[in-house]
Amino acid sequence: MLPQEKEIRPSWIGRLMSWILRAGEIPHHVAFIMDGNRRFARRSGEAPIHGHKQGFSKLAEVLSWCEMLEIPEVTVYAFSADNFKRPQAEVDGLMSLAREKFHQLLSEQAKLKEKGVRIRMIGEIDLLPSDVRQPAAELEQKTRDNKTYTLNICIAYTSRLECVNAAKKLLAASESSKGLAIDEQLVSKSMYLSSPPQLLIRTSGEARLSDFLLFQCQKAQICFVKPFWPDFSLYDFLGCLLKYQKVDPRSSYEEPLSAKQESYLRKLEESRAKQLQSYLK
Amino acid sequence: MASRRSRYFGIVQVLLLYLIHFAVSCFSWFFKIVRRLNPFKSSKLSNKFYQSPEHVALVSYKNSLIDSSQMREIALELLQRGCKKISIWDPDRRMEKSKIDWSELNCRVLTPKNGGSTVSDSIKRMKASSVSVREVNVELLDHFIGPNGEEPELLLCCGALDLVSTKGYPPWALRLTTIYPLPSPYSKSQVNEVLSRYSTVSQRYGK
Repeated sequence: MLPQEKEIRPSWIGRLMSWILRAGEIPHHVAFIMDGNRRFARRSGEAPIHGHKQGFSKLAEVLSWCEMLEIPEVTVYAFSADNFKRPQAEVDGLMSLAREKFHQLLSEQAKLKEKGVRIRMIGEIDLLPSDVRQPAAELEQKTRDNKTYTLNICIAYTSRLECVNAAKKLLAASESSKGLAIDEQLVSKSMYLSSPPQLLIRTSGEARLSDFLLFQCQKAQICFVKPFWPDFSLYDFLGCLLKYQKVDPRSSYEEPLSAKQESYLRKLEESRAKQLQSYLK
Repeated sequence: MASRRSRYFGIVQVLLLYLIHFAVSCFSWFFKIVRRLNPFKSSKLSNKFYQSPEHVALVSYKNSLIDSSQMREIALELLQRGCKKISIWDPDRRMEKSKIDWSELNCRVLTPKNGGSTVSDSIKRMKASSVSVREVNVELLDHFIGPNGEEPELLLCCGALDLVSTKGYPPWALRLTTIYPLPSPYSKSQVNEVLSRYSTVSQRYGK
């Protein structure tokens, strides 16, 4: 999905297994909590930033697996708003890595367009330093017309802050638009990320959501795996998909939205586009 | 010719998929038998002292073999092991319809009717209380969500095997909750195992 300097081709067994699994149900939206980068680095006696760099390489590899399995939407938990509490040197290293990768992706827009990859930034983008915010906004704006794959990068994100933002928007809208019906469906659609994942995978053995997509994952199947994120292999991923295929079929019926609710969501999308534009200045 | 070939490939693909699922199921079943036949692991865990979580939530799975009487046994076992509060998320209202008096056991049963619309109801209450948009923050929303936002330390998915699903448990409350499966059929040693496993968990809170 992301252009890579050196394509890492999975083994023939991995490709064969992926082909076989595609005969069954494959989720069309998978979310990843990429946990364990620092513990991976500590195990090798390296600094945490080394773990995060390995983590980014693993992300590019995992996205290529998702492309091979024809999974059109992927969401990743890149940086929590709580991670700003980490030592400043580590936060600066992560921001520097993010800046470098966003600029690299901006330079490869043609390849992103060829693959049809849309990149969206999900979170409190205002909290990011301006030299990270600006390329992030530019990347989202320049890939918004790409339709084949969607990569949602949760950065400076927590689910509770996302919910507070949705509550503010709905409270403001209910004051200006009398008769707007506020229900859980409209709350979900007011979140930064409105499309729910079918499968959530967390690495490193921790069995919790850590304030990630709490509202979107209410009906998702959640798979906790032991390997650290940089150690996550194609076979671990295929194992999660095998387990996913064994679960009972899920129903995804949604009540149709009213005209006022649709109008409110259109205005929300427009204000988001304006906000992104303001970050580019 | 090309379509016939692709149809044959499709049939081979599906057959291989069923074969893989069958092989994995056999392996899982064999592994479960081996674990059950090994008594030493259970006795080591039961001798270990651990601090139990205060608030545990249970999620009832529709098609699982764990019925309301077994849920009652799980709740009793948790209370005996030091848990003070049990919340049961009952999306299909199986526990509500059972004849068990859950309040006697200090358990509260939440259903989509009384626990499902936490955020939208909170927004309506904020509007009724004339709260301004500027005032809205995490603490205020937490206050308006009220008791349904109380965070359990541990959530057990009763009937889940490998994957877990919260089945719509009030999401605001699950920020830092540890989530484990409790496979069916239920046995008493499972509660001991999950509490022992929970005692090894460490929270970093993003740091």
